[in-house]
Amino acid sequence: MFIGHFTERPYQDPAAKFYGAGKEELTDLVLSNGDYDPKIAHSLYNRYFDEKLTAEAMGFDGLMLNEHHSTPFTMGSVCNIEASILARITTKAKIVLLGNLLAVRSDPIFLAEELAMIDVISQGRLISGWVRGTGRESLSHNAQTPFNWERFQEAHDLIIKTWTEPGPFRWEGRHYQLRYVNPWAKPYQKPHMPIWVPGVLSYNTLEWAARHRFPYIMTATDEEPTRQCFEIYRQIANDNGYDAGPQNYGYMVKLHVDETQELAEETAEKLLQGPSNPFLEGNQGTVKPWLQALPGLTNRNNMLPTVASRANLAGRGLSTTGFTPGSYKDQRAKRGIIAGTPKNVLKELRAALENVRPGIIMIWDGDGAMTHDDTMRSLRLMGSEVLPMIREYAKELDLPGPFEVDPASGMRLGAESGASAG
Amino acid sequence: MSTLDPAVPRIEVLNLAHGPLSLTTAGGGPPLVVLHQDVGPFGWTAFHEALAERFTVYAPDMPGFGESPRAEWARHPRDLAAILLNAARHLGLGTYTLVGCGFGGWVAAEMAAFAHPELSALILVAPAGVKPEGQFILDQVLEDPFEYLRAGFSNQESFEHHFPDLKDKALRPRLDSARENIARVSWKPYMYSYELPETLRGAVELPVTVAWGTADRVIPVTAAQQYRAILPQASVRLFDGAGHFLELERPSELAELIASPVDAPA
Repeated sequence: MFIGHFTERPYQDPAAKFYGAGKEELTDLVLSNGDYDPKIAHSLYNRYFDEKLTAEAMGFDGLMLNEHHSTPFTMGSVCNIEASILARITTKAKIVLLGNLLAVRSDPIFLAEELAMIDVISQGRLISGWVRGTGRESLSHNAQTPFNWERFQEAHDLIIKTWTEPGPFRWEGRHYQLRYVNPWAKPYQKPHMPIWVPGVLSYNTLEWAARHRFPYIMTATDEEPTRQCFEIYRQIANDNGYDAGPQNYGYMVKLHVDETQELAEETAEKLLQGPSNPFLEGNQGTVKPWLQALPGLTNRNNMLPTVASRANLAGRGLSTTGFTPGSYKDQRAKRGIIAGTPKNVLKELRAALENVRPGIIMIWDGDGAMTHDDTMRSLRLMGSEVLPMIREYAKELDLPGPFEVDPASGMRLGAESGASAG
Repeated sequence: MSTLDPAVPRIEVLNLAHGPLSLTTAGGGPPLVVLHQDVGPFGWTAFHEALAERFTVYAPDMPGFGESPRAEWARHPRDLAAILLNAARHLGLGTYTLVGCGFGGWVAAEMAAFAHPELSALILVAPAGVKPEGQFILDQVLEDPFEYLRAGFSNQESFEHHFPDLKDKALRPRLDSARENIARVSWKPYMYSYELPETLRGAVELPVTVAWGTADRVIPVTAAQQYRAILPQASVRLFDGAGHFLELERPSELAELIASPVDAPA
């Protein structure tokens, strides 16, 4: 089992009008960065680095970062800068990027160089993850949306070649043309760092990940459709001549541990507060659908089973739990949020692990309106009581991570064979 | 070409080397090709009917719009222009009048840049294609598709008159498809070309009319004078109070202008 820690690194300014519950409802992509205060941002960036250091000390295998643009809900728009700093200040944990926006980059060689440098500086601790991005990303960098998927695939092929073959070489592709590819930075891990692919809705992305034998991480999706998606992955793997297992599947869950059940519930509810986040279920605010669904960005006729629960959210009716879709009670009832004392959290988490059977689990905590103290209490209890038990459960339930069983072959790996994970 | 009953437009599919192209034809008289807006063809309108009284009207669905399949390889309006020039040659039109509305005006201007000897006249109706000085073209990527459609009209009443039923299930997919097609051929720069003013400049002997509504909310009317600066022989006719979809709001006047163009200014 590979256990990672994640937060969106929100820009928290309780005085701002966009600060979630109790404030005016925010329409996504209308906020002006005229409201940005670099002093607040300075303090928050450093707080989040401190929390990542604690997460490493508490025994997390991976420190996960992500990338979103033009929004206060994620401060890591250039997450490779954060990853570079983590490469220097941490010593053991993997740095997990889920992920970089391939199609939005006009020059994928820059990305290949940045990631190779992070891998080298961290002595081979980078896990690279690649995404297509939402509307905000293409909008923010004016990347032509109808060709997002083609550009994603071509950028992948170009970067892999850049990492694995000696240069210089010339690239004349449909979307990228380069006269001289020969960057003086190559991955520390050979043949290259592991690649994981996060996803939520797109069948194409899951199918692509399965064909390339890359672990697929479902980010905060309901358990049952997640399980169904993993089954689709397994079938595609079968069709492509290999056996997929837990080492190929990642599951992200919102989880907060605290000293008492009451304090845990009260604090976990802050996940749905703070900067309005259209991807944080229950804290969506309103969106401009035509900006989310930019022309030709996503094939709406080719969605994963997760689309049904997302549609429920948009419908604002009642969830199968009997609560308002996306509300704290709804998410607690379906284990989208797990909160409590270590003992209670472990009981719920075990049920989720039995149901979804991932080999990678990403714990999403410290987000929304949570304070540094809230995050640190949870991290300490995770280190002392929760993580050791998760590892016991993983053994009992036979849930190997991608550094124990090679996701590309299904073969069990030695202790130092991390480079094959993806 | 045979003379057709103006009341009965005929829809056919041209099988070009590039692929099929849907074409609606009606009327009698000298040939006239009319190209539609970016939101897709509006069908056979009063404007087409009025033109068909004087011309044999050829109204293609540009590749990727209406019933014509997308040219997957196309990346620029110039690419659509190449297909449409071939369509005109395929039909054996000889010399013909070319009318382009909005985005279709840009495609028409691209055609003229490369094949002006094949044209008897060029009529640009609030055309895209040049970068308005000091102003922006309304960016449909940032707009709700229905709001973008609404912006094509001078006022709400006019919009409701032409689109009485926004719940029409066929409308939204049509708008989405057209929007995606525009994103493929005019992502950036959006709706203009830095090269067109130079490639078009050579069409010095072509009679050109530029028509524009003064209440255009999509492309600033000031761009009319920029076209005039490229083609000094062009006459500019402004329609007071009309919106971007001039062919819907002033069909008879516009058709009259096309049939009897004003003299080129001194």
